[in-house]
Amino acid sequence: MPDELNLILSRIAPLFTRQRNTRYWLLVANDHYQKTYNLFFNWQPRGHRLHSVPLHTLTTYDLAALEALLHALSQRLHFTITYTGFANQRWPSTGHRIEAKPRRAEQ
Amino acid sequence: MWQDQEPQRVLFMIDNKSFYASVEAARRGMDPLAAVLVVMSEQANTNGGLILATSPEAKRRYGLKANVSRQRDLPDDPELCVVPPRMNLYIDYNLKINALFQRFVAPEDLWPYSIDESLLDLTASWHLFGADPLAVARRIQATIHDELGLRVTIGIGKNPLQAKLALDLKAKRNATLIGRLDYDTIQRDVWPISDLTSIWSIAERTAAHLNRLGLYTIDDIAHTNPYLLKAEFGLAGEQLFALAWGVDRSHLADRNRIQSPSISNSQVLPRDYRDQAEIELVIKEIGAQVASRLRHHHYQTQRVSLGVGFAYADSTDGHSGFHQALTIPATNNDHDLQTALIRLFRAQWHGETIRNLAVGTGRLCPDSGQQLDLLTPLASQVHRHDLDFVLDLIRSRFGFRSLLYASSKLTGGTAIQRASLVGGHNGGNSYA
Repeated sequence: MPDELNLILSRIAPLFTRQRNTRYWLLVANDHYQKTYNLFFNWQPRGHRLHSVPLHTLTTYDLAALEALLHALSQRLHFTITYTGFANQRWPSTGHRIEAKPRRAEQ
Repeated sequence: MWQDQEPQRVLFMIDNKSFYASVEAARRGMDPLAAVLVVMSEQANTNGGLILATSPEAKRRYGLKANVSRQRDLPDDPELCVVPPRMNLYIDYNLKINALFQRFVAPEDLWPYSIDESLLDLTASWHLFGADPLAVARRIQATIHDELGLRVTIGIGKNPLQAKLALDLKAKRNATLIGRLDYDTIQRDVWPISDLTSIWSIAERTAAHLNRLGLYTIDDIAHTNPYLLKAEFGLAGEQLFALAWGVDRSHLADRNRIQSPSISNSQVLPRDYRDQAEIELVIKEIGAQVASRLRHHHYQTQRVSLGVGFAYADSTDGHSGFHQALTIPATNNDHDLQTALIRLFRAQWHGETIRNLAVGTGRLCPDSGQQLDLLTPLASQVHRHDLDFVLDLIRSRFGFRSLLYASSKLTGGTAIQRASLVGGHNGGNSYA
């Protein structure tokens, strides 16, 4: 996992340019077709287009592994993380819902 | 009836709706039909960004028509999601989709037509999967949606042409994403069409030519004299006439023999090039790339060609560039090919600014020996051959960038930057 963490951090570094009036966040998508978790780095200057760049695909389809990775990531960076495709799933360690409520464009 | 003499097969032309955009939407957990998303390539040579794919909803909202348009045509809307391309990922999905098709047809009845279109001959197998071809089409759509999250459009016809026309003209405009054409319905559905360029195989120039002959609809073409069409267009005229009647007698299972194979590479430069040394550097780089491909396929070439496209500002006097070929002794050696290319370039170039370069090789022959020449010492000829061979070996094991000519580091060189691209766009290797 340290490799994956470093890979993700190294890919975020050139993208996180700290522009004014710009929102930066991470998107974690549960790809239930391919059985992977896909991580994206998103940013959006206020009133402009949203940009979304792939960071990494976790092929280990295991919620505990995802939770551990995101926990390690949050120790280093403090981006908001949004989740999609997790519907009613809960985190294994805390039992909290992963997604508060499924979004409109979600399948 | 004449139709009874024609092929009566069951052919499906299947197309992925906004393929790249749909894959990107699916990877982000979005519905491909609802997502407002464009895939934009931001390579140095795309002049600010080239839109490779647009999701159906983005097309509808912003009135975008052609898939490939420019960033400047795209509104700066906060609802819109812009993502970079991942060509290797799309190739991977394409392979998955074609593997899935093989559950419905035998491998010899499946022909991938492009990265997002495939032609399936279900004549022998459709009855295994449903009550009628329409039900089978719905089943294929459902399977792809359930397993990959993508939507496909299906054109059904009795020959490949009808399947393609059904796809383009009916399926894409239909809520079920399925369209069907046969010898009888073609008169009702295709003949009234007056926008000739919407028909497969007819582009602007052909349409203009047809209009000059007083042919404005497919109905007009169907009822004109086929010999007139042949006189005007040659073989393509006969094909147009057949198209108007929905006739296509091709047998896809027969493999075509390629009469004169060729290997070529081209690129659009990241900016206008004026300096002779810079231009020649890129020509040499492309030459080396083509030579390497020749060696990989065990070919030598006896004819090399160079195509040069001028920058927009320099193409105003009616010359947009030049294309010249030269016959050379059979070779697949970097140095020989580069020398010939530079000779072609210097003979034709008069200081114009340049934006496109293309290198082609033809008259290929098997790489079964080395043609020695009398005027160069034997040792250095053999040495050059060995050098290229070792270079190929190292690059195939460790990647193209593992060993480069120092010249690629000079201003203007494009080889290093392009090495990671697939079809000129970001391959996304590291992301897959």
